[in-house]
Amino acid sequence: MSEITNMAAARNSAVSIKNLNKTIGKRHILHDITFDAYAGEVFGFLGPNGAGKTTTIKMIVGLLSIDDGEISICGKSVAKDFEGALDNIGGIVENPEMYKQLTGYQNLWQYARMRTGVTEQRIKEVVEIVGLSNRINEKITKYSLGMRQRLGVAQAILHHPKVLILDEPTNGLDPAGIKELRDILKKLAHEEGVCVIVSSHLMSEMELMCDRVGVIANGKMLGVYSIDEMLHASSGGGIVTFEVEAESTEDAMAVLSAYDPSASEDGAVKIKLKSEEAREKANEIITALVTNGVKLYSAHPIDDKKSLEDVFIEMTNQEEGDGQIG
Amino acid sequence: MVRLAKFGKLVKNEYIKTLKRISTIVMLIIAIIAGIGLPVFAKITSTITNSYYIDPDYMTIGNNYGQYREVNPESDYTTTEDITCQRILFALDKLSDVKYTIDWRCIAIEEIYDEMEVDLSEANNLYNSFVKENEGMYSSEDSDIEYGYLTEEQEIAYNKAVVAATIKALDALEASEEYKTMLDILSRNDLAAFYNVKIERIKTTNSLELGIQPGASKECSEAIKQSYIETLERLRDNEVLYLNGIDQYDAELFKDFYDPRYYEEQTLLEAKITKSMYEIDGSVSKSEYDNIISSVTLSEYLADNNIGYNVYDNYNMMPNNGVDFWTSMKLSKAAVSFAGILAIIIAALSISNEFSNGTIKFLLINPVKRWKILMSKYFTVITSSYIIIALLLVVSFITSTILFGGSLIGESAYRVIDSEVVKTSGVLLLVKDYLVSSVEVVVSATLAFAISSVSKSSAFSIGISLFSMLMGSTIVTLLSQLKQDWARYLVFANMDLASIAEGTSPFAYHSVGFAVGVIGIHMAIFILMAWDGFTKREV
Repeated sequence: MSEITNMAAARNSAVSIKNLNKTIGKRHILHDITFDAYAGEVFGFLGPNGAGKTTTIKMIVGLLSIDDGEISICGKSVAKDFEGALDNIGGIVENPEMYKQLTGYQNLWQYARMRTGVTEQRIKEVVEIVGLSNRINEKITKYSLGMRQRLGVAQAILHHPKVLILDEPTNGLDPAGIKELRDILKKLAHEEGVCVIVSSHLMSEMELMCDRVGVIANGKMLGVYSIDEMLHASSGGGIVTFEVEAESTEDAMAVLSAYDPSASEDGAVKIKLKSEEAREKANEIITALVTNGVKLYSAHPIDDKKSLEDVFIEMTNQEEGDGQIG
Repeated sequence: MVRLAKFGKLVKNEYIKTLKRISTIVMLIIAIIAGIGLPVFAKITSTITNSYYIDPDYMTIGNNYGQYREVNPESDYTTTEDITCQRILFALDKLSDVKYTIDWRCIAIEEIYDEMEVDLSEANNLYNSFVKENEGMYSSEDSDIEYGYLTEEQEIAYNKAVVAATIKALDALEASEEYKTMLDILSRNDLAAFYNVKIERIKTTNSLELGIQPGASKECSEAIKQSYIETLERLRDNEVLYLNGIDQYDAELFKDFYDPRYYEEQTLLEAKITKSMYEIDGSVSKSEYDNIISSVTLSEYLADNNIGYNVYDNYNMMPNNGVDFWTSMKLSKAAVSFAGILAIIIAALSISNEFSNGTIKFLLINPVKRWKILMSKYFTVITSSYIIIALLLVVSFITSTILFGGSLIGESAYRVIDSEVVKTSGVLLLVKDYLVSSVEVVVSATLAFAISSVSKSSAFSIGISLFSMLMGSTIVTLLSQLKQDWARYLVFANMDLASIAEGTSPFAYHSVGFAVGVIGIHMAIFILMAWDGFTKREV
């Protein structure tokens, strides 16, 4: 955490959230949410359903009022200078719903008129970026969910916002579309210096897309980590699995009994090794097998890096015990 | 200027969204069809009524009385009416130059027979004796048979007695000197002499026969009698045909000899009678008196300035020259109700559709404060209401001009306000009238807007607003009849500014100022509701 605080001091944050609280009815939904997101990064906002991701995003874009705390976008307070703050934001909140009676192009014009400096040239450019050029003059009723998602992204980046907030942006996109979107977002962040905030349930996606992730569960911020940090922090020392394929699984098992082997269904023998002594032990294993005359096909460590998803579930369970969903 | 341009862009957005909605397009088409259809309807009705009026068969005495020539006074079923009509027909036959065509002498002769008194005492005695005879004839089971029921024979006998009495009276009338003098005057076609006889009769008749109230003072009765005499003298001196019982609305039917001066004299006479009653006896209310005086002032003004057409006459749906351009325009104003429905739909959907489609989240994450978005929506609702009303006015105007010709467009409307004749151009009157009816449209649309903002439900807001627009006035009228005076504070009681201005509101002392105040307060509440619902909502 100390590294992150230093970073905050070093550069100006694009989105700064301090001690955000929200109560809807009698439910206290957000507890002291605090984090910063910076220009030039893709910030992932992670949490199970009902954790408060969408609530936080809605508060950032002004859809929900702020009970307590402070949100500022590029130094402008959402509560005090709404128009100034929102000038810097583009976004999609929940589903990409558009005006059904209008065409894609007319929909984009709706948003263009509400923002400053959007030209017809820019609209065409954005349509090109999201790959809707050939369908843009069709009515929204003829659009698939993926196409509406693309149009949503188009409207979000229309006015060159400094902050791009996308709630579940890969929803409804096909794999090719997801890759395209990922490339667009990375390009915006890394080349154009936009602060991109993405929330998603597809955590494997986040792993590929984000530079840092903020983890939220039950309305509390569990921490903000870089992807590597998060994996490292949760792995607890690190275990490497070494896999051996031999003609006879039984023979291999017998030879390696000292290493606590386990046989998988396809006949491979797996051995768990501590990562610091993994190379040494691997050599011992191969030598033992060869000297004992086991007919060996392959022997190699498995890339057993935990997925962000595993880490995330582990983290939220650790912090919250029986983490409620709702 | 920048702010205004930004607001303009918001409004443009709203107009695009509104105009592309199917509901708007459909209702707009319906409204325009109404705007075109109502003048067409006016044209159709005018053709039908005209064909009725110009049928020459209806204008001949032959049709009215010819059938009575064959009536047999001895027949069992001859009625007094048959007999009288036969005698009128015979009398008309004696006026050799009057043959089956109406002229003033027909009216005069009919009047003589109408005034005849028949002595029915014998017939009534007979009737009573029959009733006595019949007593106890019917058992209690026939209790539904009313007292006074006669048998068929008795019925015929009674009828014959009545007819006999009538014939006796007719004979007496026709034998009288008065009748002979009158017939002589009529056969000579001597209008002046006829009026003289009338004048002499006024002098001798008692006041009740002239329709003077029983309680009237002697002074008042004399004044009224004097008015009658003066009127008859003027008619005589100006050689105005005697057209008693024919008013200006029959002008089309009697167009060959109709003389508007007779009608004007009648109006004047009525005014003088009212004046006498008001000034001498106080037996007429001030407002009734004012009305009469106003109408006299107006007719005098129109006559003095040689003005033959008053837009008000036909615009107020009392077409004295048949249905014309202005009647058609008045009828077309009903299409404003469709503008009201359309405005309600636009108002309700402008907010609720954003919620039901989920577009509200995209709308509100723009760098525009919510109240500005709300105001752009409201501005759109109000301006589009007026655009639709103006469109309907233009459409109906063009259609009416095509159907009825444009010759009357330049005519003016004259009415009396505070005993002064006020002249307004017909077109201005029309525009004003449409503006007055726009009040209802705007109030209903604002209500729909407020409910839509609070409830987010289009069905709910359209339903309530349509119901209050269509049923509000009925409910308020009902409440007023139930003596619930508080109902005057309801907005529906105040929306019809035109009738409030004319004093036809169901509530006493209902002024336009009060109505405008109540509407203003309600509008303020509606707008605050919309404001609160929209700007504070958590989306």
